[in-house]
Amino acid sequence: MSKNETVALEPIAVTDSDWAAFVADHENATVFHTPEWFSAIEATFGYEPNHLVCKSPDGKITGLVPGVTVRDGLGKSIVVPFAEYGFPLLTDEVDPVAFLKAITERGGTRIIKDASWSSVRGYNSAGFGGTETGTAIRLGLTSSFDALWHERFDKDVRRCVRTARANGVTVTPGTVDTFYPLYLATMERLGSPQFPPGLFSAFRDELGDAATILIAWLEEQPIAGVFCYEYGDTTTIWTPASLAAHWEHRPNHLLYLEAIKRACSAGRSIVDFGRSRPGSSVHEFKAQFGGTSADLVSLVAPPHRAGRASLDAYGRIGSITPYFAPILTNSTIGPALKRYLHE
Amino acid sequence: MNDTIIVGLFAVIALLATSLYWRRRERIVREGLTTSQMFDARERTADSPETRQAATAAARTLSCSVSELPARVQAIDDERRSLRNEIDTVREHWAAQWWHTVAPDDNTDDWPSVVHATLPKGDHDDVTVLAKQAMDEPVIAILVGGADASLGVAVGQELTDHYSASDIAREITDHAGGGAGGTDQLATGGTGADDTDELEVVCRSVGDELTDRAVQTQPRGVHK
Repeated sequence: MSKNETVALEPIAVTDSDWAAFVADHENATVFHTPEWFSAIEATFGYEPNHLVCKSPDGKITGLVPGVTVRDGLGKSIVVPFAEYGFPLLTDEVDPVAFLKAITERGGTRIIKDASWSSVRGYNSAGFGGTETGTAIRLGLTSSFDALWHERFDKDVRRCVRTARANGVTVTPGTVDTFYPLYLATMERLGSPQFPPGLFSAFRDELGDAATILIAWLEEQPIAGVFCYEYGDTTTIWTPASLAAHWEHRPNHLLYLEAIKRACSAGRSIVDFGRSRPGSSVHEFKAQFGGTSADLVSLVAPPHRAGRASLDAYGRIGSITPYFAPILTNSTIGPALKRYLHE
Repeated sequence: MNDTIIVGLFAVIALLATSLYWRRRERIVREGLTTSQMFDARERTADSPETRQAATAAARTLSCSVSELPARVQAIDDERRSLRNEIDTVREHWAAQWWHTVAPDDNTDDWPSVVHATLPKGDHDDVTVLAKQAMDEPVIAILVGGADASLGVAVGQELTDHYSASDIAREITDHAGGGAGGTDQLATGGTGADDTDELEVVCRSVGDELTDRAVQTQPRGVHK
């Protein structure tokens, strides 16, 4: 396929082995591009799949944009929910603008979550509007763990890790059964609807060792945990959880440190701490580990629906949702609500 | 009210609603397209002649080739972090020594023991590190940085049942201006004023008031 030609898109299912092979070979692929990740999401929430590919004349995939149809408000959007990244993966054979135009011509509302580090450009020419959604802090593992410890981490990281160790906090790999109560306690504290436990189990089943849980323990009691993806050359810290009563023991610092140490040992290149708002306490916490910020933008077609990708509303209601936590995190209502939130 | 007026009112309301809808839609489209244009521009500018010139100039400044720039910048960034860590360490040592000179006598009967100190050339960072030092002591420390009219309040762990650093700091800035915030043990802030005269007076007044209140409600030395 030569550039500037019209791109023909066709649907692809998570069971198609060509998808997994294409993603495995693409240097910019993230765990959020894998069919295994979508298989877990679709099975848990029953989303309608809307993944598209284009192919070369000999039938090989040359471009992929994943997404599922999510109902939001009165309308529907096609998006990669619960992820920072959902941008197209393209080979050099495909013209990005032609690929993106082909997406817009299929109608409906498409939200593509992209980041400044990805190589896809041409959204404006293809008729996409955009909205900024924060930044992702990414730590490049260009030096040894010891060098990171001494030269990149802030002094507060070293101090808090020492505090955690002095208090007897230890970190081990964990299970969904251990992690979920910590996660639920965190969601109840924030007043934010929770994922059902089955989703974490589904990730473990589909992704195997790439879906990792780390648990911080204090005297045989789990006090914090993180759900990470160790996929390709990147460790992505996806869902941290903790008991507020034990924050003084600094388990979160120790957990992040262990995740970074595991990434170094496995020879990975990047630890991605996920999205946060600059200026927020979460952002400050992540920045202590010395990473750099990558801007996150959601590109939306048609452009007059760009507001659907905005996360401002979540920030505005975040201060009152804790008061409604018993309702919002009810074991039936919470997961049902989560289906409609694609932040 | 006759039918003509009612129809007219509905027509005006409908016109207003339609205008607002289209105005909002136009704004979203304009802002959205600007955002996508800026996003797309990032890669294009990376290959522009201006960018290449800037990269060449940066390489010349750092005495390396353009291809060596990432490694050179990484090395400089590592050196910067190392120096910053060194400054932090020196600052901690300085704070420990400084605190030693202003810390109250162990035998004092004052409760709570309130320590006031002004660092004539100290800034927010200096005040913060000194306040952190004071957090480990059974005192209330009220510290002022002269360089930027910054404020630091520390409350020792064993006093936090009775006193909150953030409440004390806010009480000070309520009177002296500016703002402050933090936790029960440590709060920082500042007035943004050119001098610290008024801030120091207010700090002293609030500190005295804390002691006076304690005398009225708590037997002297009961917590010592």
